[in-house]
Amino acid sequence: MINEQRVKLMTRMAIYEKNSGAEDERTNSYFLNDYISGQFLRSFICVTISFIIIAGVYGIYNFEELMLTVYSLDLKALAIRIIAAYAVFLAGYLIITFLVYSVRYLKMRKRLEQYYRDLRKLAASYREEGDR
Amino acid sequence: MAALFEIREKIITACRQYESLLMTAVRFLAVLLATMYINGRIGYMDTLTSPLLMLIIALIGTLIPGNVTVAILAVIVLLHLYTLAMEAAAVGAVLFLLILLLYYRFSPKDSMLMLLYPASFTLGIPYVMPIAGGLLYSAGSALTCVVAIVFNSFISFVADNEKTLGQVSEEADIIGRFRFLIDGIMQNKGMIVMAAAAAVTALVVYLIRRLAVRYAWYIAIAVGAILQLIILLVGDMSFNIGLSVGRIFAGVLISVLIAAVLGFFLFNLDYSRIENTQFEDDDYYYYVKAVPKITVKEAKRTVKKISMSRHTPRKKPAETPVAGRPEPEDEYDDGYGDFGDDYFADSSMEFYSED
Repeated sequence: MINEQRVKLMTRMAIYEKNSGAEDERTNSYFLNDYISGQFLRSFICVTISFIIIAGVYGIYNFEELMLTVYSLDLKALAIRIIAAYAVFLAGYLIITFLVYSVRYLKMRKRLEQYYRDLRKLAASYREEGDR
Repeated sequence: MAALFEIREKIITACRQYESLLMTAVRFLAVLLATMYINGRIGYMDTLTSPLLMLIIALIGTLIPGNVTVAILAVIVLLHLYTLAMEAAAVGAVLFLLILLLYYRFSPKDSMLMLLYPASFTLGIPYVMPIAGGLLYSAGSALTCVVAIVFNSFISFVADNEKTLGQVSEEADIIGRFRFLIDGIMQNKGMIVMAAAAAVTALVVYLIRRLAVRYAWYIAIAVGAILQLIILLVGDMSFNIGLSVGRIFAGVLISVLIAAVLGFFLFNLDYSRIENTQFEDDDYYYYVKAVPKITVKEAKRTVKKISMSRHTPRKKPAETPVAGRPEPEDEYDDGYGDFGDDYFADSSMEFYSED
């Protein structure tokens, strides 16, 4: 005899496994702190490469002025300005990274908790049947 | 109104039967239109403009994830640009790389907006995109719209200046053309105004439609459209972009109609689709097709008798029930009948199994 309640549970779990189960499992192998740190590292690499690209484009765009004034430039002030711009860029991006990925992590936890609730119900249902 | 909802339910049920087919068709069309738009505007490499290749790209685009499709289209754009001028390709590559690094790093799920943007732009209704993005996706769709607008205006700029860019010139001119292209992007005030309007609209629509108020979706559409209109008009006046006011009005109006139809059909759906799953236990193999239920409650009217007694307490009727007044039948009953109560409707599943 097919147990309808059990089929419902199993279906819901199968849908979850098919859609976001694998990715959630991967995410869940980290603690929130480790997960966010990993994402910070990726963001840091992305921001650094982007900043180099933007600085390069800016340099080429202002190539002539840079060449003309290269000897009169105050290199120390220029370096400070570049580092400040980079720091602001990086900080802004890391804040966004933190918000996005902590929300994703918390949502993942909720989905996973529902999955384990279903799993417990399923196990209980089999136990009941075994008792009978 | 109830009749309308019943019609809606019938249409949605009919669509759901062919949902995967329908979604595939929409994606195919979106990719095909985007490819046609790119080839129509900047089709400098003849090999890529053959209709057969366009069809193949569209077919592949339906099978792979949306973000990968966007990347393929970006490569096509770069190849065309390279055929025209190396500098154009270089600037395009920088643009794509920055977007890839800074935006696609978050793997957004609304690539459909990106793919449909060229089509909506050609039809003169790009204003529907931020509204649809705010309604159907997350707040991130504001950025997707901005990226789509920047892409689009870059392509338009190259297409409009193909003669200047295509001229064979001496080495020394490379930096000149490079600057010309970057100016074309950075100083395009029309693009900046469009992007600002789209970003604000998508954000506001998203924030409003999430509110737990009645008609949140429709309020979001209306506010979003008005806001977009205001930003576009103010931007046009202060920067003298030369947008046609009549066309903006018409475009926004049509966009509102499309968004309202979208809202009517997709409102409150949790995007759970028909799912075909298979699993087994000790006794059976199950092949289950789970169909999300959409239920429209029949309009229920509660007749209230207003007691004329002078001692009727005015507040807290729930704690001190008045004789003759029916108890609320459901916990969400707010005394306005049942219209709008399907905000909280649960989606549940129907099952059948085959051996």
